[in-house]
Amino acid sequence: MGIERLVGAVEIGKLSSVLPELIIFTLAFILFALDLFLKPSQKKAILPPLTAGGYIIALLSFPLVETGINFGGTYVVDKLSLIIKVFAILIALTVLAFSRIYFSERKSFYGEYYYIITFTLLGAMILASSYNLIVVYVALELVSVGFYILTALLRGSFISKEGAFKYLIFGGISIALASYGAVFMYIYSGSVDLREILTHKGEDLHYLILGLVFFMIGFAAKVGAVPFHFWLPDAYEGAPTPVTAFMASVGKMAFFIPVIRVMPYISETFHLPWVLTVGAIAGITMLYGNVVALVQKNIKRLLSYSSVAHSGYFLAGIASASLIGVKAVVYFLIVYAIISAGAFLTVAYLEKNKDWSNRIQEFSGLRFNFPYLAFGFMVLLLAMLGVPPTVGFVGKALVFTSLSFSSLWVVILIMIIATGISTGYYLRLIVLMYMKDREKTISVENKSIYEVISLILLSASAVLLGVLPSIVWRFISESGDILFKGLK
Amino acid sequence: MTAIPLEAFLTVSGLIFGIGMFGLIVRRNLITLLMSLELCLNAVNIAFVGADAHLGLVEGQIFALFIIALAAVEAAVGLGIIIAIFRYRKVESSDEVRDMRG
Repeated sequence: MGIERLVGAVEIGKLSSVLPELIIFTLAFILFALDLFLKPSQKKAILPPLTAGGYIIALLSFPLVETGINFGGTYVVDKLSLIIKVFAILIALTVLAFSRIYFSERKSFYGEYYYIITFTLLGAMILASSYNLIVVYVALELVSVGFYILTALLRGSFISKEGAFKYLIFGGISIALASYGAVFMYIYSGSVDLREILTHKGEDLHYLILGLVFFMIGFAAKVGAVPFHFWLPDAYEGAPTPVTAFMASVGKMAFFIPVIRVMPYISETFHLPWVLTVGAIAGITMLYGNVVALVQKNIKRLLSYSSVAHSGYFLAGIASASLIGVKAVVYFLIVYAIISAGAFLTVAYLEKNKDWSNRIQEFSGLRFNFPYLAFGFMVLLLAMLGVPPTVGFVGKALVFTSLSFSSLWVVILIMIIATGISTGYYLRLIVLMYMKDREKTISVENKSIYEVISLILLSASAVLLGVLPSIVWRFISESGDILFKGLK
Repeated sequence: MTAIPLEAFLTVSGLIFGIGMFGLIVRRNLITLLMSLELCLNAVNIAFVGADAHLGLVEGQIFALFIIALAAVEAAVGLGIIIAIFRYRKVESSDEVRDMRG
């Protein structure tokens, strides 16, 4: 039975449904070849615009994409994966806008950066549309190995290597755990397709439970949920700041997608244990992330712990195990990708200044030197906090709604407390920027128009998508329905 | 020839996975950490191949092939990062790789 299915998978399916992936894939290999042959001076002129051009072409190809199940059932192109892919490419473009100058200033301009970030983006896109465990595994490794290399890419910085090594060890553990879970799910059902595994009616239910436990622990470690979060702040602090922005946005979106895909099936059979365990992890993660963020002195570490806390918010939505929960989490993931990319890229912009040390105190009186930047950063911080006109409010309100539909009042209470704690550090940054006097003037040379445009776009969309959530919500709503009804 | 029961495969792979996890927790040498990680992934391979022998399918073996290939990738990247760490500092134990705290 197995071999026929595998041979069937080899036949080429509808290529139009994987057009963006094909473009990104081709682009990665073109960049790889060019990196071998170009002179260092040419690389700086050719690689960045070529990469950005390729991403834009991939974005333009999305209207041609047909939804459907492809490659013998291993590759699923649905609305959920499409919207994740679009936002992943958009955020990768804003990250690219910052990369050339950032790495050149630190004498770390490597041609490798461009094809590795492209391969990582490809991995995130594949992860967004895979139901097959082998595809999940390969895509997970593609994203993770890309992140390890990108983290270590800063010349002359020991913490960059340290962060990369910690990320490698913890990322490796999480992948080992997730694939060990895959073994038990395979023994249970004799299939590596997540839908077949979870709809399979077998008698050895303990294998399925064991498999799901290992699988979920692996993914919890991958997204930085609390008992397994140690690597995350170190990796995020050590990485070059544009790479941190990429990991905190595209990485987080990609790593949550398999969990979201598993959730509708689990909610039927294991509703209570699922709610209890995921809810408990979510609660601990929210509280821990926010409390530890309060005492951070370094802005990148503070935003990293805020990222840990946000993993808790997403897990809370997943714990609700309901249709509205899926939609809320997908919306919140996209929203958080935008605001975290914006916040980290603002830090990357400020790091161009020679005496900038990333300490929180450096933000005091920022509005005198950078009035627009300070305003944009304030909008992004308010969005993370979840203040009404911004996207963060819509995301958090949706998660609250889904939790209240499932009557998870304890998790709601913890989430309210956690949000209250988070006010402490977000507002402290805003107070520093707007109510303190400037101690020293800082200036930024060597800025480019693309950086300014991408910061404006990210801050503006943090408000725009909050005022008009239906722009994204329309797509998410349909994709959530499909997840629950099952694919054709 | 009597077939080896599935439980035997799973016991061996569980033991090896446990040894790998134990190594990751207690050992301090950077390269030993990478070896322990490989041990965990290879335990997964044994379990997959054993499951295939039990179920009479091939997908587990294909999965194991992918794991072998990508574990090699991970080891290559890990060794590269260790060399980069050694260039800055002659560290012997992971206790010395802790500039970032808090």
